[in-house]
Amino acid sequence: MVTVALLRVDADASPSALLAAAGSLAAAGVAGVGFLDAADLGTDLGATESSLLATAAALELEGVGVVGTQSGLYGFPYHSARRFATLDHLSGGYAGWLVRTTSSGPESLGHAWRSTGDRAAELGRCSEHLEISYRLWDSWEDGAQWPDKETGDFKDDSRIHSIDYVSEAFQVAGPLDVPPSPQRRPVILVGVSTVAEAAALGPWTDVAVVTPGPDGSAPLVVAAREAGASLVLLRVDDPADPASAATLAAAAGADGVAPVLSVEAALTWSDVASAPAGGTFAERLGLATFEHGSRTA
Amino acid sequence: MSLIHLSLNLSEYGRHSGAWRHPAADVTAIPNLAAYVHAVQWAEKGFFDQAFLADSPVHAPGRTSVTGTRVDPLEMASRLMAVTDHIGVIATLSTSYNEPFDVARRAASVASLSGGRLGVNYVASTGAAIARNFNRSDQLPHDQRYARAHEFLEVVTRLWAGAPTVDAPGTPISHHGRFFDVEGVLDVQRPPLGRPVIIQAGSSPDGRDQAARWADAIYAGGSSLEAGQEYYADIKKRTADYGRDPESVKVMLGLAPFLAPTDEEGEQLKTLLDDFHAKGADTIGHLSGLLEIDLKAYDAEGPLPFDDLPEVKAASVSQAGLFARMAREGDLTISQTAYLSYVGGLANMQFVESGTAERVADTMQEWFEAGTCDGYSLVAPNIGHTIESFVTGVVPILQERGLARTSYESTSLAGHFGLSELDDRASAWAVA
Repeated sequence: MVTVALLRVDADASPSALLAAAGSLAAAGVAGVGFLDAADLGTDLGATESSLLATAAALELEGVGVVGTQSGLYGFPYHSARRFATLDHLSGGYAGWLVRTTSSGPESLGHAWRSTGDRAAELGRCSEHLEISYRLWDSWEDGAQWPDKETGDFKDDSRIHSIDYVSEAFQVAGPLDVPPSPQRRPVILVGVSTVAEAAALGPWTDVAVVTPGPDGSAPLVVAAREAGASLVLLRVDDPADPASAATLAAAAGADGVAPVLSVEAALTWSDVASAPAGGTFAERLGLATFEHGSRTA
Repeated sequence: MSLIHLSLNLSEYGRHSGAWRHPAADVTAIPNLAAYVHAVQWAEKGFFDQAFLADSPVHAPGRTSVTGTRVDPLEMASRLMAVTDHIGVIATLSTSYNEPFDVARRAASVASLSGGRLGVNYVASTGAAIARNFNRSDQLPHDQRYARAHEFLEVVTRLWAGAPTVDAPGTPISHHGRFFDVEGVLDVQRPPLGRPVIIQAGSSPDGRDQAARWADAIYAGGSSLEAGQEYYADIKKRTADYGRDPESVKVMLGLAPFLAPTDEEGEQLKTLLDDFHAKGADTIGHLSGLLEIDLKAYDAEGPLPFDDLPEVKAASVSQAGLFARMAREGDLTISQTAYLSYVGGLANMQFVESGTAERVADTMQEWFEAGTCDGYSLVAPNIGHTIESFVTGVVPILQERGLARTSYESTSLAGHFGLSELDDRASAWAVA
């Protein structure tokens, strides 16, 4: 049973306590640790934003996936692709991006784009944001980087391509300026609470994190898998212990569990039966290696 | 006596375009995190105020590396903060291709995670290529880029000023301007000292004005002592004109030292790096481009065809004149002139000093005491070598002369600048 623990970044959580909790979860045997900030939790205030905390935690989480969140609705896809490629480089191949798809909270009034409330349109925008990110990660062919001190060739621009993405919502030329990262791209995790979400974002989803809906979680687990998710985790808020979380996930037919934990609760977790060690986050999750163009071809 | 403030311009190999081909440069990992960590930890050993991460979010075409591999600067800053305790880190962010809410939220987070060690260098990015990565087909005109930068700073500083803490709810803002509509309040903690330090670089009148209004520190380039004095006096005056204490803005002058045990070896290091840069490069093609004539039709070992040189119309007109004059006066061949034009085209190297630690320290003291700067931004030619030689060689001399600190007295970047608090900067520039 794969476990990716999600830590709550509460308002009064100190950076050192968050890092200690993350380190403790890593020692307990989880495959990855993510951070849910105020925008993810729907609260008014958190200590910090998620993805930069994830970067700071990469040192504590050696050999364990480090998952940051960021909206797939607000902001620029070029920045998203750059940030998570950077996190993958800085963590040595253990980066994950948990994509936020909500249009509520402070960020919804802070950015240029505003939702009309049409969920299908939101999911379409998010899908585009992810497609552009994937195309940017694929903008460097394998072997485009070849530093040769003798000849003076540092990279081969004939193997680095523009993406020239144009739609009503986005115009992104590329290529990405960050070279391919150790996993080639971060692991993409997407929260799923409806069949529509699973279907719209499935083509870009490595790991679906299912939140049970009115009909329970089993139909969502099936929908996420059918839509293209390689792995399906069940989100369980504040489980009593690793065993009870795993039992719920197994009952839902999921491949693993994503327990949402406070800093205090995280410190009590131990002996999590999780995936074996691996050289990348994808390996720890049991995912196939990310090949160039694997989801954009 | 006041102390010389020190900043290190971070890169993987160094700012010199030939640095990556030096045997000491490690190109087995790209980007090379270990090289960044090595440099920033050495700077901390030398009690530097800060280390600086430049940025421009666009691919730089070309077969050779110029400044190393790009990464997201806030992510890198967050990672470098995790392996240091005192030194500040400056991340460069574009005001043209970011949203102020996102920048305020992310920068506040790194400032909190580092205990107040973050600075943000705001740039009004230029160029159509960057614009095309961010939903535009071309950049905004110059005056609009600066107007946007000003409004951007207004929004981020107001968001920080209104950010909540554990004990007090935030104060929502309602900003409706020419470029941005932002309402509400941040959902992350108000950062230590209220906000990250604000850095600017700019030499145009608009850039100077923006810096005097907003910046806590400025990166400057100076080619001569007189030009440096003029810039320094102008910035301090403009700062005072905005009702600010001129001491509250630090001017950091770029310095590129080629350090070696003897002056002669310093010159040799520079030549070595220049050779690495030029080796195998089409230098005659480069000079042909500058002079707007195909020099390959002529004997490379003969003189420039002075009678055939066209009148250059492009932006490179002053460079073209310079190299033609150097060739005539120095009696140089085409290939010699081409080499000089290629290795001499290292932009932004600021002023260069080669030689012993004593010589570099003397120059730093002279320019500092002549009123050109409050400190120096070390633009390291080859970074691992430069920072180690600087910290083991130059810093002790400056310390002995009472010009550099001998220990950290603060753990925040503002503290390193001698500021016990930062004004919120927002209130002075509230929307008129």
